[in-house]
Amino acid sequence: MGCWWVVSEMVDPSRWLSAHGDALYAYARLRLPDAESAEDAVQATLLAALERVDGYRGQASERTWLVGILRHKIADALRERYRDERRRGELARALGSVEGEFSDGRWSERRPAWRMGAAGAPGGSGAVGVVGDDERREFRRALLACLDALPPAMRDVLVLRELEELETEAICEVLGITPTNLWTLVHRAKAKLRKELTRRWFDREDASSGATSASDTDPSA
Amino acid sequence: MKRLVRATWLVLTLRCEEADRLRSARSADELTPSERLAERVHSALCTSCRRARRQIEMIDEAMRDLRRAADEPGEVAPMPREARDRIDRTLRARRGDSSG
Repeated sequence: MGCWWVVSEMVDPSRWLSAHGDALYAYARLRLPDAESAEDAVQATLLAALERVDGYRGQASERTWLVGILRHKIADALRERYRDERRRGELARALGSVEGEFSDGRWSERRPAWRMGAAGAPGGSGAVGVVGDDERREFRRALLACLDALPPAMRDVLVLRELEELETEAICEVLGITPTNLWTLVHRAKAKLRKELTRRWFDREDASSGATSASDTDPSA
Repeated sequence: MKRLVRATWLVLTLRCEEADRLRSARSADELTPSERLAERVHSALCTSCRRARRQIEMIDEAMRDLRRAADEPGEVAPMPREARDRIDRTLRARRGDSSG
């Protein structure tokens, strides 16, 4: 205990909070479906760090060390959610939901093209249909809002697969589903994201300002 | 020969809905060569599928961009002031318990 006291003299968790709080929060907020869970994960991380501080030998940077703990807290939070039977029920519903995009295997209506801005080419700039930094920031927030609008099970699947880049096997272990179900869920999630993004970004009121009316590579549009 | 027949059959019979499902594969290695070929040929011929395919590619890219952006604090989701204060109080209280 004396040892702990000596170490704790050098540790100021409030400094951690001011130095790394925003970064930890952003990391958690992207991976968890609401502000409250993100806040909880950050708090749990800093509390755990406080308890384990004598295990930190400074080989990694402080930020890396804290993010490492945070990742475990996020994984725990997700695992906990799917241990719950209700969540599993939600997974089953997400798998069974009908998107209404197709009838008899074909698109029920012609897919709308996304209006692209001048810097709209994917790849280089990263963001879609976006001109300038302000609009890029706005687009990222819109994308986050679209993610949050997904049923939680779909959001979680995308997070584990696209952000954490976990292997199929690991994701199935967390969610308690089969690889086939996982793929279906990913597909539904992306289709829904595509729909939400069309509605919230590309078809938004002021979409025509700053964006050319040209569509993607389709010359017939 | 048998494989060629099967691949051709898949190309000819692939419908938009199934093509769209194939598009969600993380990378080529989650698909058989026939599936990959069939999706490509189908999308080359179908306007809606071509758009859908491009939009999925953009979503993948946008997700990667979002992940990168989240490394810059405040860029995607700034921590609310009240949240910071709550956490700070909890940390101080815990620290007081342990060392005091």
